[in-house]
Amino acid sequence: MSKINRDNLYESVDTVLAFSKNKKRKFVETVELQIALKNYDPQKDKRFSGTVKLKHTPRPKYRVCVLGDQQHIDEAKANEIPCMDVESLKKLNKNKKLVKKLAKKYDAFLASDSLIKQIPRILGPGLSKAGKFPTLLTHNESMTGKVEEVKSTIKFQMKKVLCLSVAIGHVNMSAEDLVANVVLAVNFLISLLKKGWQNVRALYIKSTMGPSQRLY
Amino acid sequence: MPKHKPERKPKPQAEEDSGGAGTTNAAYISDIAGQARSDPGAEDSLLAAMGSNNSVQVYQATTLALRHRLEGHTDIVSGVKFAHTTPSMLYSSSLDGTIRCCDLRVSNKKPTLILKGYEGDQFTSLDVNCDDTVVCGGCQKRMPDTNVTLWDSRTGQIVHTYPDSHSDDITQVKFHPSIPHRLASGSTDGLISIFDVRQSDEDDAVENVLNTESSVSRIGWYGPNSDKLYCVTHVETLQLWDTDEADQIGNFEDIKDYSPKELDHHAPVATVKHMKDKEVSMETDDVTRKSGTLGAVDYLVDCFWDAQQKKLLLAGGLHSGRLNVYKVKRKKKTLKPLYSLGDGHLSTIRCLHWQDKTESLVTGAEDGLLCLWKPGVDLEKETKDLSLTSQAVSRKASSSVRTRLRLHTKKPY
Repeated sequence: MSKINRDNLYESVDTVLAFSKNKKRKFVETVELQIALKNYDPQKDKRFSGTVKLKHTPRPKYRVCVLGDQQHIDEAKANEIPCMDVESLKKLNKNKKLVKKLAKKYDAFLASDSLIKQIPRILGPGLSKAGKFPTLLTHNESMTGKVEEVKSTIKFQMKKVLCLSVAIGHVNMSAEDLVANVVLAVNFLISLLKKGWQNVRALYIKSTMGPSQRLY
Repeated sequence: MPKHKPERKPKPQAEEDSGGAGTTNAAYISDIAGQARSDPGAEDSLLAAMGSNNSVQVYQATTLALRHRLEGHTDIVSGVKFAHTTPSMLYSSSLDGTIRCCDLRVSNKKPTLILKGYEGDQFTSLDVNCDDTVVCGGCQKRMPDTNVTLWDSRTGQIVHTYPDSHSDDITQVKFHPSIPHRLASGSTDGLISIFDVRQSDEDDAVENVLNTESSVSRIGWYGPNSDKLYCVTHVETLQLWDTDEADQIGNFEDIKDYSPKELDHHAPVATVKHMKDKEVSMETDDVTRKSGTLGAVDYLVDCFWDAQQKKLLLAGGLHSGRLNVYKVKRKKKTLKPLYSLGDGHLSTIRCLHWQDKTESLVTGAEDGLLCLWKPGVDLEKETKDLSLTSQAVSRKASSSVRTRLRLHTKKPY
């Protein structure tokens, strides 16, 4: 993070937040980090894609559904997390439309270890197709913790153009939390690049409707 | 006059393209394939390396002497594979949307078979199953489907296509080394799907789906019965999976050291690379202390299975061109440094190929070099050296460089 001055970063985050406060929108604006690369050939160079877990949840409205065994179903109900058991999944009968509907209803899925192996057989490839194949939930880890983890994990991928953007927060978050997320995401992404900062053309942060602020 | 216009437009673009290739120097070598057994009558087996200059080069495996050069693809070649039963047949896949099959015994090198997928599919990976009956190609994402396509290798006709199992670019397809109908595919959507390719309906064909929760870079079957899969992700982690139970049996996350120094706001201005170099040369104590987490590698290259020693080995590298090889100890959840290979490559190493018969390793890198390594017999000694100073290792390892060869010239052909 040595390339970005901490004060400047705070200033940019504050500007983004102030702009969204001055002009309230009817939804919670997302704050995203935009990265433009240079000296990078997406066809020849190593792919730039993966996931990174942030410190603070960037997406509060992210809907996670637990596909659980009995124990997980009980736990989910106690924590008011949406859940489904094997029987109700079997009722979908591999019907493509119903599986698609299920996939659309939620942003991500968690599944107990006994269940996750049956998912391809019960539901067919529908969840894979939607990019929402469940994440494993074991009995050793806390369900709410895992839900938070899934919520805070963001995916990034460079396609044919030399820029990408990732959601790193929303405008109702504090400046400290936003800065922490920006620092984490930037460091992680840059450490994956062959030439580190020399591959970075520019960094911006912006809220959904606001103007962008250049960081680097 | 208007007729001329569309003709003119592509021209400057094409010139720009070749200019771009020229400025980025030599062609990268992105993958290597070896013959499972040599041709009857040939004294040495062959290796095929492909690069970003749309061609495939075939080399002698022990001397790296150039034997053939195959051209004809009109875009980057994404995969090469020798057939198993007729080892002179070489398949290559390309982003130009074709898979070509050449017989190296034929002198004119015209492909004997050209496989095409559905309109618009660009192949990113290729494999041929162990009895050479089925060829599989993985595709780039093309809305709404991402196809895994299978052909009958005799007729060249598409047998089945599985469009629904992945939601993003396929990075690798790998057939099981001994079960002809088992196929694993990895994708940037983070999933590894295991198929039974005898089934035409995708619902029945998918046997298991493994969710790596990351982006899959390389996969491979390993183990004495080849029943396990390793997976190297794009964020430089290694995962091990049992394919029968679909259980994750190992996860190595901290191989690449995300140095806390980089996270510190107040650190002095320094490039990442610079700091990494320093870590290697100066803080050797640190390297040994962290040998559980391996100290510094910038990226992972690939894994390979040493069938004679029954070991899974992991290779990671530095952007300066050094390659470190580690033994993966799944039960202890540690990686044991075995040896470090330097003074060969000048840039990021992209691929490797292990030759069981001669116990040698071939690596290809972004500098366009192909290196053949014969690790010293005395591996234990070299391991010790690694903990002493990196300088000593580099000298030691340089003696083990057998052959080094520039694969591609700077000039685009």
